[in-house]
Amino acid sequence: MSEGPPSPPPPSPPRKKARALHLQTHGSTSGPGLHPLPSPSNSPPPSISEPAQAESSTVTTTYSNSPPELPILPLQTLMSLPMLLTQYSQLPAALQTHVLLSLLKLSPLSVLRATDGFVTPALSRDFLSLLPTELSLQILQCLDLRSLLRCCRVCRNWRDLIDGEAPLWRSILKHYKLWFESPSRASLPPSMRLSAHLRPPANYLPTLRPPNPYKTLLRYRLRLQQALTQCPSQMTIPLLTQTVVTCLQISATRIVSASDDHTIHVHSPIDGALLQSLQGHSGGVWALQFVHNTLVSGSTDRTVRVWDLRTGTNTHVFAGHTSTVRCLQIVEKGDNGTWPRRRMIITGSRDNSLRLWYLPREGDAEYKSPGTGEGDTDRDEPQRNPYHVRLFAGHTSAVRALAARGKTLVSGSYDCTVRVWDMSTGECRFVLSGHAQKVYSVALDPIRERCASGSMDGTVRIWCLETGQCLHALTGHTSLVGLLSIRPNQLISAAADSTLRVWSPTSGDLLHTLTGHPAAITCFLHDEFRVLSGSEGSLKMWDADKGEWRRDLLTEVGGVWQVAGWGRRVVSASNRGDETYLDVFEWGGETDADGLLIDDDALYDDASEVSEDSDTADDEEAEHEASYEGEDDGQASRSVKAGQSPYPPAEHVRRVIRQQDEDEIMSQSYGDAEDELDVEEDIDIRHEPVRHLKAPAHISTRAMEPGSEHAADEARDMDPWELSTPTPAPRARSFLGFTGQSLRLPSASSSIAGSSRGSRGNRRWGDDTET
Amino acid sequence: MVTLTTSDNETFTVDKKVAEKSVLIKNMLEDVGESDQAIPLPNVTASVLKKVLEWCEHHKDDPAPPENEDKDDTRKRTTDISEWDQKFIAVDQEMLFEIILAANYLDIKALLDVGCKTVANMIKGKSPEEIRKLFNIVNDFTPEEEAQIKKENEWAEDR
Repeated sequence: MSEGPPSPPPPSPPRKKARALHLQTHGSTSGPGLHPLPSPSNSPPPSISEPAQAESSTVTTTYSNSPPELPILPLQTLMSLPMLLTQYSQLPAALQTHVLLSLLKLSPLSVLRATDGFVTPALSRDFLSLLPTELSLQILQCLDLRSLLRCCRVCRNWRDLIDGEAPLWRSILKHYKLWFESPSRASLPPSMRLSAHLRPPANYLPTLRPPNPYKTLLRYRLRLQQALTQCPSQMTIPLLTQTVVTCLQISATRIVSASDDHTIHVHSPIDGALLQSLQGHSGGVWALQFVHNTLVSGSTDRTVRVWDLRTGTNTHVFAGHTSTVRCLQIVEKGDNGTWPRRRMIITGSRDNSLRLWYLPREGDAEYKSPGTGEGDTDRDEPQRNPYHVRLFAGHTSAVRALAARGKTLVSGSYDCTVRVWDMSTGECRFVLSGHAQKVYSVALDPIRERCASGSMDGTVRIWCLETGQCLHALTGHTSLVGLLSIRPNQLISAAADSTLRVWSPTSGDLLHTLTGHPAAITCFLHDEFRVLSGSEGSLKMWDADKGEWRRDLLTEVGGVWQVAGWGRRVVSASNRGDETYLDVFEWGGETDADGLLIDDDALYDDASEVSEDSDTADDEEAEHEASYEGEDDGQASRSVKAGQSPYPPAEHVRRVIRQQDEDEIMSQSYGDAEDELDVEEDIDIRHEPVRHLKAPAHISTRAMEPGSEHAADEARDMDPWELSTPTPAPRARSFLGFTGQSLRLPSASSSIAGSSRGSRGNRRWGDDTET
Repeated sequence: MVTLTTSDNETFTVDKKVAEKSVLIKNMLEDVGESDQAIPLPNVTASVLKKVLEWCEHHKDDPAPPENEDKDDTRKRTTDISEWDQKFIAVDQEMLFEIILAANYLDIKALLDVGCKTVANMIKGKSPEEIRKLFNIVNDFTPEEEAQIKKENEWAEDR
């Protein structure tokens, strides 16, 4: 547009003229005769526009009714007009300005108004659409949330720009302190994870791109945060037993509780109905965890059992441990394709050992170790069991607690030590000595590559996972530290001395001491939004950031055995008199729902048609679940594949994204192919059970180079506005590939240390979330 | 003194200190060394450069901005603009647009900041319709889409 007609005098395009005019009128250099120009804001349009219309209509009437009046205009004048225009167009800009202003001075209001209606839009600039993306982003960074949301409603271009900008929404999440670093998010309840917000509501208009998942996540978290300041509703479910509840876990559709009466109960968190009673263990159940429809339990009967929650049947029985299975965890698949390639089970026992098993997939043939009765367990049985991977021997007393993530396994034992193992090889990397008495709890801190342990000696120790050194010994508790949990900004320990202590996981400094319980803390729940703790007599809720008591959820009860949480629901198990009850607390009422908080009607995992046992099925399932705010832990949340995306992929998305982004899409499709390969590999493994203590074949044949992946991911992590060149990639990324974040609920079972987690992003996009 | 040539072939001669508010020019000067040659600025017109230099002149004694901002919270919550800058930037949208582009090209961070904040301030507190009107933007949503988008973007109205 800077190319003008090739005439000799410097020509100006129309809007340059207009600008000159505008500047002149506003500038201090403007001549004295300019004052009659009304500023648009000064002239009230409605009142004057009416006469203006009247005027013009009058003119028209006059014109048509009495044509003879026309000749009053000298023909010469009319004839000269084209000439005038030509001459004008050849004037230098300064002179044009002068001429035009002179003309305007001679013009009536109606003409001025018409001019203004032309000039103002000509001078308008759609900044966000026209500026380079990184500058538009800089503008958006200056906007408050409310203005941003209004901007989304202006036009398609703006909406696509704003909703497509994942880094923008991430920065807002950070601003509201609702951004949780990846390992922590991995342990978030699924509804709080990004994957839960990948899909727009079912009836979403197909012509619109779905809102940015980060935006939906922000909305969800703001709502949840707000809801948690209110008083929750409460539903009480009698368990009709007098037993101690040893394990508790809650998902959108299930509350699973186990007790020392050998039975596992499944209740509905919505109406409290008893859905299933799982019977099979011949001893008390002391450890359990479920993922999707698969439940794993460990018992004093020395077995590990796997249950299909859809049917309530016991599909697998693993023998091998020679004493009570005291703690277990489902280990999620590794980040970015690292070990493990499929879900595993790690179990710790009173027999001083730990064992690693493959988690059977839904639909796997049943397998029951023979001779699981008392006393006659065949010592060679684990080697025959295709699900058994290896044994970890070394502890000289009972294994009381464990935490696992990726290859790393941390176990705490009554032998007063903590051991760090490489689960992929079975190697014991460190024996961490320092505690004077039995170790009762362990937790992993993947952000800092550390772990923590709590002991009967009243201390909490923080260890370096790289060197095995004890970095801090946290003193203050006066008795057994039975519960530990680590979040990015907090390490919380709960002890038999009736207090909880909030520490800095970095420095080991004591931040707060939460006091108020009359007796030993028996259970607690710690996530990004709340801390709950139970003891004899009460269940309390705390604000761990401020170190303040928030409210009592239960009072005048006997022991509070367990507490577990999921999104806006928390369930606790407690005794009142001789009876044991479950209490389900729910924040945010129905009116708050509008699809935002947990979708209560999503009886999802029971309705899902899970195809044969492949990881693809898991992924699809995860996608489904995501649309219903997700299921519980460990949902397979790998990349949402471009080809399977529920959104119309090609046309209207591509329309907006840029050429460079195509590469990203390509690379993603390529990545999908890789996923298919993985599935095949896994299938092979099932047909050819891996031998005990041997590294499974697929580990060595993995084509992935974690190092290079990582570098690429790091490059992607850079915030685009920090770069001097435009980086449009995030826009495509944010729409086409979302991460899997994953995975674990804060442990429902006290036997699993609170922060143990198995996070697993997908390798291409997952790291988008893990800055 | 430094001589600058604009895209429309006008030359400006300014104090080195003023010109060096532009990191681009500063780097050029460092690369070239002392020279009488004019520095070509093919992406800036005379009218815009005049305006930009006016800003540089006024801010020539400002301390250099801190290099690294808090990366964790890149959101600029304050959109305060100094009084002088406010008057300076009270131009039509076209000029503002050009100033932003020029500030970006010349790498004058503080001016770019003023420009972006100004646009943000124009947007703030306005309804979508008012924003459309202000920037002469056509609403290209269908009524159904508009209803959907309204619903999904109403949640922070009370914040």
